[in-house]
Amino acid sequence: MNLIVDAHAHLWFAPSFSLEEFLKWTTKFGIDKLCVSKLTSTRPASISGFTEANRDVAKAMKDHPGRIFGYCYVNPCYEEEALKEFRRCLEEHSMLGLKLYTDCYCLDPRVSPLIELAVEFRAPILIHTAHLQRRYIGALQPFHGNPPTVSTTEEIGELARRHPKVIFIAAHIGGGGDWEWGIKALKQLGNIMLDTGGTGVDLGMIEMAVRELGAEKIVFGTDNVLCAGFGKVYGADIGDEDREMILGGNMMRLLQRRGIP
Amino acid sequence: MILDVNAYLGQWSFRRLRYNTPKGLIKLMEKVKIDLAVVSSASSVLYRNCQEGNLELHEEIGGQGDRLIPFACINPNYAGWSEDLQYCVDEMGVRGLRLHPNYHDYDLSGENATALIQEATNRDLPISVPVRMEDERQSHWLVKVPGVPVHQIVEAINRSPEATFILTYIHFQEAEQIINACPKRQNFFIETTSHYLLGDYPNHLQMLIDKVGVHRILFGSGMPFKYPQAALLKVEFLQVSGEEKGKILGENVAKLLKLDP
Repeated sequence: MNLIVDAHAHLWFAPSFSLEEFLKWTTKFGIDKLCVSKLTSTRPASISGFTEANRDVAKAMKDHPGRIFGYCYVNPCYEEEALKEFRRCLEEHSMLGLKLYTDCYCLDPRVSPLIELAVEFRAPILIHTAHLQRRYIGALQPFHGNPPTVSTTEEIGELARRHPKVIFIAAHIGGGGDWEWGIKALKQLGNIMLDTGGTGVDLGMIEMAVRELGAEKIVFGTDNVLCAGFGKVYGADIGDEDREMILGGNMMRLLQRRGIP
Repeated sequence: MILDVNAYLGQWSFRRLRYNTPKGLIKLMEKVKIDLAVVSSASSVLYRNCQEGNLELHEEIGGQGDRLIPFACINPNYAGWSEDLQYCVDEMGVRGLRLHPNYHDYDLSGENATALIQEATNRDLPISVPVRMEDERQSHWLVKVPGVPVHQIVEAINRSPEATFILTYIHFQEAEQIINACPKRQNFFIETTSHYLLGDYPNHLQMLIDKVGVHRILFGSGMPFKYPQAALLKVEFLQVSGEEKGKILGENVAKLLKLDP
């Protein structure tokens, strides 16, 4: 039986979230490993905010070795402090990689030092992605709720072109937006993966991603929405081998690349 | 018996649909073991004269209707709606209505809609209201259609207490607001297409069941817009008895539609 690895999950806040309860649910669904980050409750994140969030992730990793792998979350606008925190998470806590949210546009020069550090540790970078053309971000803001500093699929593609030594993961193709455009915007990029997470379960989404990008470029993610996460991958008309790669094989490769056994 | 109360046939202008013919939809239903489906015309949503979509639906499902239960799409702002309704009942044998006030540009609690709701009630036809057809975050650049406003739904439920409303593709937060605004009304049902009704952890669908009871929840998947497996998983992982799951999956709506057991 192949492993199921959730490449995009989160720790949230008590009392509505309990890690132990969440793990019970993920076990029911058959998830073997979870790659998690914790965001701050208000954003842009402060230094103390992201540091505390990462502390919770480190504790979860320690409490559940081999099951929980952490992404370090920082706000790149804090430059030296963000870099220091990312290094600390990599060195002291052996975190898997970096999670970037909407605090800072991904092509902002302040993101570059973090990417260079990721190269050093062969760490993947998961980026919250708006699958929307930049010119519609403003007009559709009431629907998607992202600030203007959100990064679009096309922009993450450009980031990947500029930094070919890092593996980027464009987040949640089912996270709302024009997923067909999002998939097409990632074509012909060797160092970018797409996660399947989000509440969107439009029939045809996974088939198109496999057809356009190849199954080896797609990783299973739920963004904590488990039924949607599994429903679309189980429901897709794709080969069993492709489904296995998506559900775990591809993310296991990224863990190994990072040197995580 | 599994009965999907939120399925469609026909075309959608903004993206390719698969399994959107009677033969195709039945193939999909067989794959996931759905026995029956309530269908209306997706084409009707964007046709100016939605009756043409009803006629297409009638032509398409002729002879294959034993697993597909037709609902008529009626626009009470459009000339001849009453005659169209008469035709759909007498000639097509529709078992209910699907109303799209957001796409057809009318107020669900307005004068024309109230007249249509009264007509439907007189004919013992339940009224399905898809709060949305697709995730608003993926709106076409020229056509941005918000969901049906909660206050219109609340007003319609209160104004027409004898009518039966099936609220489909409704997010958890919207359902909760309506339940809170109409705590004494029993004349509306909540359907399961939306994954903002997360159905896992935290289990929002379970929370709704705790508020209104299993008898007010109807299984629907939004197929073929959506992978039906996602909504099926939500019911599978509910913490209710097998008997109660049976009610959600089909018995409740069979009772509403007065189908033979």
